[in-house]
Amino acid sequence: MRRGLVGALTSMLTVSALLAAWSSYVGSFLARLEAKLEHNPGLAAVLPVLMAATGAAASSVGSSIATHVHLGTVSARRVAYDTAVQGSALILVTLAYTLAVTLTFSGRSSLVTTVLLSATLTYLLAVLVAVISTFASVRLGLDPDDVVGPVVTTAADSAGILITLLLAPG
Amino acid sequence: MNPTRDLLAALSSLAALVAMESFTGFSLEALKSKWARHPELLAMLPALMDFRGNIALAHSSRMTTAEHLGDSDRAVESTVAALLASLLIPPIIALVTRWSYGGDLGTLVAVALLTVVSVAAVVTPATIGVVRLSLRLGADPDRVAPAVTTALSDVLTVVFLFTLSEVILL
Repeated sequence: MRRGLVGALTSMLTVSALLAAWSSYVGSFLARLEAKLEHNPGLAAVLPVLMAATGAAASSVGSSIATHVHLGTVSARRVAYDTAVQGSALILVTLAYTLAVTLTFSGRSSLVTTVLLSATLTYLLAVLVAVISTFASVRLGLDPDDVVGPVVTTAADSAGILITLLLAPG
Repeated sequence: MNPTRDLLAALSSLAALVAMESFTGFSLEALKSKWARHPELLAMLPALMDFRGNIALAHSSRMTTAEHLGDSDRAVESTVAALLASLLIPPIIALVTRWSYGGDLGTLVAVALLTVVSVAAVVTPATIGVVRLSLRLGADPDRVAPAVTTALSDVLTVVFLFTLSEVILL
């Protein structure tokens, strides 16, 4: 369906404005918990990578679900398989990066535990959001390809910040 | 389903993303003293990164579709929409940050707007370039462009936010 510039702008603005307002609100928690970043060397270096990698892994699961919804081949087994593959890759990459940061910034070993626990919890939550937002967009008559990516990355970012800072010692 | 191949594909794309995002993390760690003096900028950072990432996601996805369809009008409309959204959303982010955390509204609006416009000036043409280069190299831009453009957006948002705020707050 052809919607032109107005349609493209409306779609981008609606999703972006809602998600940006939500992220601004979550950002205020980051500033309030700023002392934890100060007390945990390396945490500020890990946080953006953790948010981006978790969001990307969960978005990939969401994108795959959306594709299989379009193809009419979606199944619980497929979702579980994609979740396991992306989750395994996420944990391996996050572990390697966090170890490198810990060595670089002389961080404490608790950084690795905090980040791995946060990555797992955030990822599982983001996958749940991916599943719900895919089927909700279909039910609302929206194309999940337009909705799932931004919603899942925003959910992963928000949950990632809050869970990591709440789990971090100090 | 081929678990080994799928895991390797997931690991490759996440490793590339982490390599780029690590620059964001290390910049944030190095700029600790700046955001400790202006925590309202830290409060605004997740929203700016999310917003730019979402615009980059939508733009790259729409550009890919336009290239696949050979529809140059659609490509131009998506690019113009991405640029217009970059002008309209930053004041909303600044307003919500002011409301949820605090800070001077005029400064927040100026920093948010200049940061997003500066990032857009680099990422928008880069997105077009990545999509076209992927096609030329025989790669599916849907698997390449989102990770590259969102990671580039994140890196530039951190660098521009703290560089421009330094100039504005002087």
